[in-house]
Amino acid sequence: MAPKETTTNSNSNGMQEFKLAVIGGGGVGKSALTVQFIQNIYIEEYDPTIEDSYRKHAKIDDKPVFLEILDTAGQEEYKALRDSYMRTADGFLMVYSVIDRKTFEEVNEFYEQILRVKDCDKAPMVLVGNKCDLESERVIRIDEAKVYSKQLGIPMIETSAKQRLNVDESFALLVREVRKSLKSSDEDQLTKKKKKPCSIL
Amino acid sequence: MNVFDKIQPNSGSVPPPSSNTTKRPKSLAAMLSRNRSSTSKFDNLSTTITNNDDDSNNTANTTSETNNNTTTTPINDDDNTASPSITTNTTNTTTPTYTPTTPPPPPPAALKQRRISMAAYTQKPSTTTINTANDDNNNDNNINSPPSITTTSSSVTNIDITNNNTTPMDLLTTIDCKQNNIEVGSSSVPSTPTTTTGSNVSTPTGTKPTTATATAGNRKSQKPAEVLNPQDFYSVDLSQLTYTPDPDSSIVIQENQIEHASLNKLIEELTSHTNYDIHFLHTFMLTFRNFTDKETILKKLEERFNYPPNCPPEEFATFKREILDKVRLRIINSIKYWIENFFVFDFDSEMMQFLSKFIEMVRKSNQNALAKVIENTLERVKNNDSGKVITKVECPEILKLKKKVFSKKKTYSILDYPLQEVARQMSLIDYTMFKKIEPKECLNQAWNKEHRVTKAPNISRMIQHFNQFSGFVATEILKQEDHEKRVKCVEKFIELANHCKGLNNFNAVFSVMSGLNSSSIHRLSKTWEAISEEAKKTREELLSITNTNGNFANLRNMLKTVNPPCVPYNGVFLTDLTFIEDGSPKYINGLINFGKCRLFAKVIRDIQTYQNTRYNFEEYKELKDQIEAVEKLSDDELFNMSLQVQPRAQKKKKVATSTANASASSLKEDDEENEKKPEKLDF
Repeated sequence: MAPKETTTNSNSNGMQEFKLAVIGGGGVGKSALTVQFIQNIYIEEYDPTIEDSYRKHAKIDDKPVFLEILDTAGQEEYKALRDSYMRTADGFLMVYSVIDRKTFEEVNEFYEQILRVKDCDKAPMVLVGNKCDLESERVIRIDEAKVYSKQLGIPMIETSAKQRLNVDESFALLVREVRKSLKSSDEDQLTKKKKKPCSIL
Repeated sequence: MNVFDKIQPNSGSVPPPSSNTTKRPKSLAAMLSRNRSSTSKFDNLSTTITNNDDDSNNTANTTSETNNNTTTTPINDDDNTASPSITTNTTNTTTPTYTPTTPPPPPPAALKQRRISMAAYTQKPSTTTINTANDDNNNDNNINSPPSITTTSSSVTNIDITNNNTTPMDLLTTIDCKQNNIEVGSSSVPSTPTTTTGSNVSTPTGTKPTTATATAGNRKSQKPAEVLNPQDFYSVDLSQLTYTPDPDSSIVIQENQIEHASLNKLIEELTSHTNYDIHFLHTFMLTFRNFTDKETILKKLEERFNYPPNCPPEEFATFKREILDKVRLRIINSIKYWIENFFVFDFDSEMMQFLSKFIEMVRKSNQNALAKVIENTLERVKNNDSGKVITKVECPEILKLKKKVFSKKKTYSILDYPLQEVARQMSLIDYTMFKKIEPKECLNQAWNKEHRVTKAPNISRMIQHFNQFSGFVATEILKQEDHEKRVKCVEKFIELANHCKGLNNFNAVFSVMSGLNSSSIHRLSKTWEAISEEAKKTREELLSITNTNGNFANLRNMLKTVNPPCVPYNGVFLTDLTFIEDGSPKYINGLINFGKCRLFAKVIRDIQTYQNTRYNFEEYKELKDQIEAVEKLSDDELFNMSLQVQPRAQKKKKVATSTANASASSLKEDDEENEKKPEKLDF
């Protein structure tokens, strides 16, 4: 069998460890979202070349979690690598820009690709409409995005990386989704009658 | 005592700048100040610093202390190391006890300092006469302990040292840099690392007249009472020169590095008559495209070239010699560097017209020699004479395809060739593309924008080939007729990737591995189980290189220790550049965030390092052509083939494929729950 590349879901201390991928077309503000999440303070020179640039300890719903964010912003055109990158992640933030319809339409492509990579019909994902501060330029109404996210069966949230609005919340939503899938996976193994969720391990 | 511990940057003293900025200096001494900031009208020629608050209280102390300890370190500059044409006109003063005859090497620590002094070039200090009011014998300790060598300040004629507290050491070394290709360094004092945003703005030569007068030796080059007509040195009428420099608040310096600055201030830094910093020049030229364009830079340099002489006519000669000539020389050297490093990129026909006009302007300013410097550089660059000699080492023999006599094959797959040779040819191809990547392609996310093909042609081409080859890997595996051949094919690609790794071609390693990791190949568990143990082990090793954990920690570590030639995987650089771009603002309080530019420059310099060394392999045309023309099927086609090769193990529910036909089962999520605000959030 092929070697596993995914991260383990808990470290030696028993703390949960998740790898979350931030996915989306170029220019949706993925990287800004990630930087805002990783760095709590406003920073004049963000150096992304160091090992801990994308790691963070967080406490979500009172439970601590160690997060490694996989954000390959800038590598969007390396389409051949998407499968590899997606396979390593436990959960996905699918980001579009509310001022760019093309990026909203691209989400479906990512959605399908994630399910294909994970070889299952459900994976922990959150739909994120970024740049919601640019109200006057908005082309994707929140209702439209809600209807779509309902169809996909995933949570949806609007964010503004610029104004640091809902940034932490979007990641927290995703962590909950990942936890939910782990839980249902456990149940699955016990009951063995539900549909097979994505195996993360 | 380490003098660096004590000295504040740009220290030097009284009075606070505000007291004097509007008055015309009584003597040129003020403007000759080698400190980063001075109070003379000519301040704007030297670099100035903001935040001079909190200094006023202890100005006096600072003055005496810093003066006592002022040191400069002579350094051999890139181009003009102890050039015979550098002569100290007049050694105004030096310590009575120490007169360097040759510039000693700089201390390593000093090299790291942003401000490097060249002040102590004293070739003929012998005839120094000193009449100074202050004998600072008490700091002989510092003065006499190399490598921190005492400033050898000098100036041309009798100079009034206008401040009682000022030691003669604070005067500027005069370097006769008459249109030789000479850079003039700064003589500012290196700061302690803890120094914060430029304090101690002041000048060593204040307003109060004193008795300190220096007369000096080396009279050979001394031309007292030299009178020049300023208009002779400007191409435009003097009355038209209206350049007004930005206020000191337009630059923020921390730990001796520019953090934020206006464009005008950056240009002043670049062409300062006192400070010389080759790293700053590199960074500036690499990254200015991030905040402005090439035309603006040339225009700004022209403005700077025509810096108005705000001094009475009788002082013009000194102004010209001490400031204008040096500034102009720095301008020319900056342009020379620009042309040498970015000619193909920046100097299109329109830009060449601007440059011709610039050269014309230089010539009309009676600076023929400077004009000639640019022209010669252009000539040299056009003739592609980089001046570097590449030694030819014999390359290894091509490993040719052994065409089997009885083979029915008419065409050969890449995998029929010796894989070592395939890896070599791939490396040649990849390196050739990689080598062409220009710094401009790396800025403003040019490779990721709509016009990427024109704005970042080489990065785009490389990515395109990367995807193509990756698709080819998957296609080739799925095209195999049976299980055995498929297994063999997978093993061969692993071996190929391993050869690429051996050649430090990480681009190819990522490309082949991404093909093997694509969904349609990755899911073929039966194939993977059947590959040899050796292949499995090799695959593990290769996967560790492409592993994304720890921000590509494994790959980054390998790149750090790699022995060129090497083709790195560019994607990591592109992500770094994206995060530098989006992770910090371009402007801070209206000033250019130059610290961010330094981060950009670091990444671009890394790329350039790998671009420097080429592979020494002979081109095997027939194979190379085949690699360049590999074909692939679409992802959907590949996935369907994959399902035929190995059907899904379990039944899988139909997945929502679009907004329109999303399966009803996926609608079960409660909308309210989705929108529910997180109850507890503690980051």
